[in-house]
Amino acid sequence: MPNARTDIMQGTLELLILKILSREAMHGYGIAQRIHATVDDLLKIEDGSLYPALYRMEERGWLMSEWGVSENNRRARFYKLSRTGRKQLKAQSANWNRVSQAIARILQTA
Amino acid sequence: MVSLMKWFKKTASDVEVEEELGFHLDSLYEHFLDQGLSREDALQASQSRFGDVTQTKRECVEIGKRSRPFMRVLGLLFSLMFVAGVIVRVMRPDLYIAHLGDVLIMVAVSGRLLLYVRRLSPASFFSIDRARRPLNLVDRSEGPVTAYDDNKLTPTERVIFRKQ
Repeated sequence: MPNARTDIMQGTLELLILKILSREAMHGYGIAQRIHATVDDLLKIEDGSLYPALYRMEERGWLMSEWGVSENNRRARFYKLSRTGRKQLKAQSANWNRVSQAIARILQTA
Repeated sequence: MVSLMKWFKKTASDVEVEEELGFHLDSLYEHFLDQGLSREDALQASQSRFGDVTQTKRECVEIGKRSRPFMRVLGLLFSLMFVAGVIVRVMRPDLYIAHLGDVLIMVAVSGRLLLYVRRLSPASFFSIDRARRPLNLVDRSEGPVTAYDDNKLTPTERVIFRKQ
């Protein structure tokens, strides 16, 4: 089956990041690995695309970051959800469910 | 003079972005080495997995700069200083007071110019202290870095999902 490239809107990546960080604080590499581990059989993502999204989300106040020490004893920036970020996750998840239900309905009936 | 030039060339956010992206690339490299790839293959795989390093860094530095509150406050201060200088100049044309207005205007304009030029300084990914980084990763992205598309999104912002 030939590879198909699909442009996913920026907000989808933000939703993924918000969800992953809702469990624990992580650095960018950890977030990327979690995404790969979860959906690698379906979709592939360029790791670099995470960082502008992370910076933008921090700018909006959805995330907080601080430098820490990684599992292999190197300096890394860890991100965690802020209170605003948790509200955003809730709102975006609800929106995503609504949209995907609507699309599924259209695909089934049209 | 040298340290002043260095301040122009590099900001704290540039160094931090480099360190953060460098950590990710190094981690990818080690990951692929652990999977049994040769050094060259691991290097290529990590760069392929990451994407365009230079573009990513450029965007992150840009976002980081615009969100730094201190710089915003400084810019605002210079703007207020300019307005104050103009008011003083207009309202109090006495010689000494007029000089004060001129000084305020000059300082404000110089300050704004300095902030503007500082933002223009290009961020260089490979000029960090190499002693801190054990790996010598080179950006081998091919082709020119594309600009914003019709949706005003940069290449990195357009998340590319590839369905297998």
